[in-house]
Amino acid sequence: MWLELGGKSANIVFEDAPDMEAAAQAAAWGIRFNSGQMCTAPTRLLLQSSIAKTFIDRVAQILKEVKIGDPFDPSTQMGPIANAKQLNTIKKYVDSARSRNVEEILKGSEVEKDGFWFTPTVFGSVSPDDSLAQEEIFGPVLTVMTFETEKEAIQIANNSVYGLAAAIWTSNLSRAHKVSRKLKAGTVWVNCYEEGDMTVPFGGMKRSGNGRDKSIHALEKYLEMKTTWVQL
Amino acid sequence: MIETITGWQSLVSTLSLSTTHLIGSDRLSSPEQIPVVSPATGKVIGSIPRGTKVEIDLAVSAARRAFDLGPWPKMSPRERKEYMLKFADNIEKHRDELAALVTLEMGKPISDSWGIELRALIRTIQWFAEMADKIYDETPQVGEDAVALITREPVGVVGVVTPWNFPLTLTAWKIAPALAVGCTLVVKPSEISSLSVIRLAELALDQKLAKNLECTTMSMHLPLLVQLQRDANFCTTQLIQT
Repeated sequence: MWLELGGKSANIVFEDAPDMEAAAQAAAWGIRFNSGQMCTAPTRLLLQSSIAKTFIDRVAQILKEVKIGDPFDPSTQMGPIANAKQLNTIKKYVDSARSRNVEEILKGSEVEKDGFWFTPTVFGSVSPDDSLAQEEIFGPVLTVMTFETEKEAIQIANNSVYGLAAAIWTSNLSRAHKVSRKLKAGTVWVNCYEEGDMTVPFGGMKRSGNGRDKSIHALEKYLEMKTTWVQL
Repeated sequence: MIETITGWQSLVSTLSLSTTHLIGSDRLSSPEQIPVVSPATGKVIGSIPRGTKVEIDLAVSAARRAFDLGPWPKMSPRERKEYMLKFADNIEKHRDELAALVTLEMGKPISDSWGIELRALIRTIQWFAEMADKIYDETPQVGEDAVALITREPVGVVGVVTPWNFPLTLTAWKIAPALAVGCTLVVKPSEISSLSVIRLAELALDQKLAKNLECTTMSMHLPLLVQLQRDANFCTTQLIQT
């Protein structure tokens, strides 16, 4: 049995990221695309403390301007939550965080209309062990954490039962490779998010599942090997 | 792509929403239907059949027969490639309709359904179609008194359970490689997003693919754990209510 399960992917932005605006756009896109209902969504945003304030302000600004509305309008960027049960799950996490007084950088809410709607929400200064940082919410809820050193970033990123994806934003080639090797994730993006094509495998480590989809390696799930030995 | 909201709304008004299982080329109704709710309005827009052990056994038996007796695993990889490429062409022809179904049932913005979800579906089927006749087996060097072969054989009937967040992309990621190597399939889409997947199976039927493949689709009420046990000669399924 092959399983492709959830994730709580870490999106790590270092102070030497080559293009902060691109990184902010990707962080915002990743949490509102498909209303955050994406297994690889970059739900944990890890920011080096020197750039954290400016960066998160920009992400919040982009998210405030997202066009939410009728999913049949071709200019709509974000539609509803897929079903009532999922909306309740999202509300439960947000309400719980509010009751614990977690810092809320962007206050999302339900929308006063029929159907199931929730606007982007950003929680800041979250402890890496908090349920917001540990559990998959599957909605437009972003959890922000800060770090000082590369080592600390890796430690926070790997502090998860999941291992589906991660991203690193840096101009330092050695750092990109070194951090990438240490991250327990099936896919690591460098200076981008959610990129790829059919040639590369997709799947998770740890509780994100087993086996890989896409690429030539996906065929292994559906083929069994046989040895035939012929003595001449 | 249709460029206006009214254009999409008029397409939606013409859609006929399937209410049956599709097992082989047979449409099977169910005594019990699961309502499909539009997440954008909260209104019931249709219904899908609730599957039980009976339907899953029928589907698995059909897929088993297709694997053991049907042409799909036996035909040349080149022919499988051609069928799959025609399937992809047929999807392209119905791209607006499939995108609309995804948006209708799970609320994905139409630009993403058409531009991302349908692109991924079509490209995945095309990519694995092209893979079908480019797989090589191995013959290791074992000395002059023997010949050794390492060959790869299709596992048989594949059970596929897919989620609602990317209903067509994730279905394609499973069915395309399985079909390319000659497996047959039982597909169970999420009850939140079955309309698009049932339509996908119908498009396979359009060009006689399903008849050959017994590319079967079922919808069941979750939570269910479908345990497929594979064997050389038979396949059993167990539904475990949780």
